[in-house]
Amino acid sequence: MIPRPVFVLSVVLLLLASAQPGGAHRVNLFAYCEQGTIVAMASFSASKSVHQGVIEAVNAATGEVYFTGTTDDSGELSFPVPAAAVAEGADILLRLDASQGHAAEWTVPAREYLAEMGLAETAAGTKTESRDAPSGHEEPIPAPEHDELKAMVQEAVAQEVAPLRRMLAEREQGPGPTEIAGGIGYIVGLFGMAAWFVSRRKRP
Amino acid sequence: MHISEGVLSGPVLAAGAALALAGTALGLKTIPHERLMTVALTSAAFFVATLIHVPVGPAQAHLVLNGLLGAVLGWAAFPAILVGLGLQTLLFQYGGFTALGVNTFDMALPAVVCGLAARPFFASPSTRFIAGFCCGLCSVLLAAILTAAALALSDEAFFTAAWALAGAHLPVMVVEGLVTGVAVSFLARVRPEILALGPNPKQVSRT
Repeated sequence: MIPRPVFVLSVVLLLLASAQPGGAHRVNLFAYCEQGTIVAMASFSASKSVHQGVIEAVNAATGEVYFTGTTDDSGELSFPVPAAAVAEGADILLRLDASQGHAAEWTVPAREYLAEMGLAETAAGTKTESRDAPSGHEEPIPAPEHDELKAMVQEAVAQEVAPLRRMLAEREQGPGPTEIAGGIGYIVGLFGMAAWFVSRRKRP
Repeated sequence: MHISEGVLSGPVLAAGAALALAGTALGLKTIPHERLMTVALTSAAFFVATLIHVPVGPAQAHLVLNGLLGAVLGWAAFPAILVGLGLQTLLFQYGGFTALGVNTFDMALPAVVCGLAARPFFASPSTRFIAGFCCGLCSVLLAAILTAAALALSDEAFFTAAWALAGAHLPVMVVEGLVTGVAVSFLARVRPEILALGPNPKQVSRT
């Protein structure tokens, strides 16, 4: 029969292991652009949100700080796309400090927020013209009457996609059985190899 | 307690790496080769322990088990924790790679200190559980303090960080103490050689 202390210990550990996952092992940061506003979502692994986490938005290339803010109780922070970033067409790097040594980063690429703000058209237009000369590529230049339609479509798509984006951010899951089994395998393998080497050296 | 990438300053990372390396080298020297698989199994237990969550009010904290590792392995807790943490960083992205040295030192030094300090008390059945309990509790407490010190040397105010970390891990400390106490009591009775207490008297008398 299993000795009593082992049994008690195993029961305690199983009970604890079956509790809802939610430890603060690492912090996750996810951000997207919704029509001129950048929405950042910070959470600890598996659904616990970070409140009072400090987020800094900087130019990804130069490190120039555009904006600093704090997440609310649900771990979210929204702020308008900084005009300086739009002017420079820079990728925005978001840095999160969730205290106790937890930090995370997320980059919102320029093309994403420019597209959301409907500014990609102008950018694409200029790029297309400059590409025409060297490569002789035929690309349609959007006619003025399509702009309004395009803006409406973008708005509708943004509204539909926003909840999906939130769902994606919330679906963060902890380590699965694959990773655990892999880790244990690595440990046993590493020490096994070490044992083998040591035993080889001992043989005369 | 796993410090992420980009939080600590360069000198702290370098110092942590050097200290962890020194501790690991020392630890590797003390392992007799028949004990390598014990080290491997305790390292695997440490690796899995962080997946066991202790409810702390609305939040959750995770078990560390460095106290038990210190009690069983002594200085060999350094390589065991280094390997365990390294794989957690690689597979689960818990903590940053550059911070691996600091994280290892933060968890392994308390393990060694508390484990070696508590070992003399494992021999007697009356003091065994208390010694194990204190070993488990103090290991987590010291680890929290060392982590706060590392953060303080880089940026955060030490006392705020220390209080926050210690407070968040208070339930973990109690549970760890209990787990270590029970484990030590069990091992000392059934397999005392694992705790370096010498061969099991029952087995010896049977032969």
